[in-house]
Amino acid sequence: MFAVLTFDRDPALYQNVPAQLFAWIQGAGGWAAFGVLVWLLAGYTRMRAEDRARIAPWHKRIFVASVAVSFLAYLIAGGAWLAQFLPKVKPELAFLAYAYGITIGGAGALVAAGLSFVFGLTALRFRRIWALAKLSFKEAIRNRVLYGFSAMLLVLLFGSWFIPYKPEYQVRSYVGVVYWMMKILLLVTAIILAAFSIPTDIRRQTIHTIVTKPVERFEIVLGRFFGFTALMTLVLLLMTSVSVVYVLRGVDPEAAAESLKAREPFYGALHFENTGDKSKGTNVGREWDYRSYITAAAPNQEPQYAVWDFPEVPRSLASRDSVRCEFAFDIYRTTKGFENRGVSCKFEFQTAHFNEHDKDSYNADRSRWMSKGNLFSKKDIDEWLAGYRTRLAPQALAPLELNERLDNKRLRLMANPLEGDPPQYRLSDAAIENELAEEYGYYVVPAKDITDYHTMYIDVPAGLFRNALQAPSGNTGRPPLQARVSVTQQSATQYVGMAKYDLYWRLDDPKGGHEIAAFTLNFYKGAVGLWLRLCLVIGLAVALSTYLSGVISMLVAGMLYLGGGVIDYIQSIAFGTAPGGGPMEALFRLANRQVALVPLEESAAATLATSTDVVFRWFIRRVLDLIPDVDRYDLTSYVGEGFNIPWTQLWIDCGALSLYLLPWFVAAYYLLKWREIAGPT
Amino acid sequence: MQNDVIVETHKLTKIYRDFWGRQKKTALRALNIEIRQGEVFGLLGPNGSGKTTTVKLLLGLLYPTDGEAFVFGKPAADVGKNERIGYLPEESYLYRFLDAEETLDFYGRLFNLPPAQRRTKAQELIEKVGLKADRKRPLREYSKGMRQRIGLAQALINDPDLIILDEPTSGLDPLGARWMKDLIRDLRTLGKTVIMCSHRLEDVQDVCDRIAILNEGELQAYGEVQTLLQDHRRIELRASDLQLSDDLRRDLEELLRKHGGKLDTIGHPTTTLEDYFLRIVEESKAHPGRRFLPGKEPLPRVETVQRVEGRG
Repeated sequence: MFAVLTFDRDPALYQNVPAQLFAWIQGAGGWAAFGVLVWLLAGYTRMRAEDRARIAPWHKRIFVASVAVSFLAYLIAGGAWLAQFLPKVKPELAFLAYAYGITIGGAGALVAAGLSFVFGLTALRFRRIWALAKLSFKEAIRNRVLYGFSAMLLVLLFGSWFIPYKPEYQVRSYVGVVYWMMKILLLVTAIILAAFSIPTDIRRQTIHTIVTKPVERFEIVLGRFFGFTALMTLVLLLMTSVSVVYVLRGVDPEAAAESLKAREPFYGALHFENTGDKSKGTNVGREWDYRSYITAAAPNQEPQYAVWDFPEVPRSLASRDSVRCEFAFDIYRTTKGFENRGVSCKFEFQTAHFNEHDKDSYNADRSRWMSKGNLFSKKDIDEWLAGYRTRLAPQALAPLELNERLDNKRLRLMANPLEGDPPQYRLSDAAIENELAEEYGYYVVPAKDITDYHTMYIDVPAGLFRNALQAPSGNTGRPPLQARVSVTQQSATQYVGMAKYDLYWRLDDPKGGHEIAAFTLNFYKGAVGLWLRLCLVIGLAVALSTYLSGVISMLVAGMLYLGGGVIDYIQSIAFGTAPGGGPMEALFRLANRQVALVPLEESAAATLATSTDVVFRWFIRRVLDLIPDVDRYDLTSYVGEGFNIPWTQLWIDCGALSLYLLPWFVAAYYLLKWREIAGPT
Repeated sequence: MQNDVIVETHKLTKIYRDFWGRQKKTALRALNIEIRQGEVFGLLGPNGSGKTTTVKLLLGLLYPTDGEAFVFGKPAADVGKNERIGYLPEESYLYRFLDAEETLDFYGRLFNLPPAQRRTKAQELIEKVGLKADRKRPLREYSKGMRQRIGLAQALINDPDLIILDEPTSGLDPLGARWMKDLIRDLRTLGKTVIMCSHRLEDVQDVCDRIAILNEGELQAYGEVQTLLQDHRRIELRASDLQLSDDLRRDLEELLRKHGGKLDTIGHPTTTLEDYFLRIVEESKAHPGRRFLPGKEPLPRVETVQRVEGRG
């Protein structure tokens, strides 16, 4: 059915973690350096001599050393940045020095800023944090905060009135609506609870009886954070359980059979052939450039191909009878085409062992063996094996291995003997396809009608995978497995759009019969995404409220969250990729009535405008470090489209959230520690 | 610092400043005091004199602008010192959604007390402050006096060596105030140190061993209550089993003249209104249903010693 998972960015992978970690050190380190500088100028200079004397000597030494390292590294980075404008300096070298400079500088600043924090952590006691967390939990419950969640009943009672009844949309709509409702209710409640808790304690002076006990002030921050998180986790768990039942009961059987799934996709890398550019196909003028398009070959031209390379083939797939290849493409029609017919495409699957010249031989064999009516004589089998032996000859296998392969094949072909004289052997169509795929490393579906955006599939014989996993026979320069798609001449005037994630193998068994259970588990995994966003707003609001008032904390946390929703746009401004440039360039264009896409004519005013934008962009990039990437935690589309959420994604997202919140918590530690809890009265 | 000195301030100064660092108000100026173990110390002064600021500085709720404060030999900002401190704020700022048991359990956890000890201690303190019948009611339903009692119980949950009480009798009825003062005396008997901050002078006089009087952030007087209040120019003589008569007056004037003094007043002394009130309430409890009818019954009489005052 209608299940298409599109990725605006690549899914999280472990191999990308080191790069993200470096980016974090650079970003958070920059802010740490700023914090240390402000403290040195405004805090240390005002510090009383007796308070300075109380700083431990080792603490001073580590602080001074890390500040010195940081300062030197930033100096080098600054020099490298300037050096890029010098003609004799290689830009790559300057960039490398700059990147190392800001990374080491950031790391040094992080050590300097985090030193007291880390040693302050040793004074924390779980029992006190637990007491404060329990207090937050009870406070929220007894103040009847949970009553607000009864609004969820509205969706449960009346939601189905508004949800489209078409089976194609049902699962996506049901999942979307319940997640959206949970998101709104939980996030708004969480942000209000977290933002007002510490300021209210300070205003009502209830905090006086806490900080006059042997309580580290940061324990209050952690207690509040864990208390509200625990409460929201329980509510989320309850709401998710109710929601999943609602979705499972609400979806009609047709949609349930088609869409309640949790596919485990195995993706490849996409490139195009005969389009003039390996990285993309034809641009059909669609504004959303997620997909690239191919069409049938014009006379005397090579056909255009969209090719997915699979550099690694999962071994587990080889033991099956067939492996499902799913795909969902976009169709761009230049003519009306035939009524009720899709666009015809050819699908070829081939391994590294497949020889292009064997295509004809494959087709001949296929026609011959398929025409046997599934009954084979001993002579047929011997002929098949003789042909196989001929094809294996160029591989120059050791006699032992060659005989083993032939014997195995003979056993498979003669596995289902029929009684009678002369003996006959039964081979199903699927078994024949499997044998041919394993023998040639090739499988073809000459024409399959593609309908717009519908997820379709081909069950590919698993013999192809067994072939792909056989020891390499010479270097063909091709990956172990390829899926090649082209548009047939039947649909010569139509274009088919593809993206990397539009075609994949199903790692889970589509015929396994556990789809509802997998969907349910996936639904809970989707809720983890919401849970991460809850942790994010609670942590952010609690940290901000250590210094700001409740209302301001709530607004700032809310704005940062909303900023995270449009982070791609802010990034485009920060890195100068937004059409029309930065604010000064845009103003200049507005004043001179120039459209955004036309390059600016060189003039002093234009140079001034673009140079000012460079400075502006630098500031925006610093602000960008403060904005959480909230979209990465939105896993609704996985659940709605029926795709399994990989555990990798969840673990990496947890790590990313921890790294985002850590600097905020360090800031909260210092702000609450330095803050005078009592006022003048 | 002497061994028995547990609170010590050196030139303790607090200046409140605005966001830009401009001076707004000097709340406390160069305060030097010492508080010894086992005494009840009173901080006295009118509103805005700096007594609550002093307490907040000692507790680390505020940081000094200048000078230093030490509690148990540690700087006042040190969290570790709080292990041995109990604090009752002026208003009992507790979580109103908790009941008495939960409140004491919560504060017990903050002292890392094990569960069994928390339970025992909570029951003991709830009985001590007389809230056994109300221990399951949320604090939002408590009267001011009951909140003050549970506030005191939380201040004692860790069996502290130093108890800091900010206006402990404010908002309490005379019965409650007497109860509070008796409790402070009990604490002294147990060897605890109490710092009491109040502007109810009679309470301070009743229970404090030593006092410091502050005004406009400056220390004005500091020492033992008895020494500070003694009027060395006068002599008080109390006698009983005597009838007040002109003869007695003449004889006394004669005697005092002989010693170079002169009689100022002679008459029946009065008790404090607090004592009188408490006696009436006690008697009323002893005779339920009894009431005073004006003109029908004599007024309840005060029994106290007769007093003769002379001036030398």
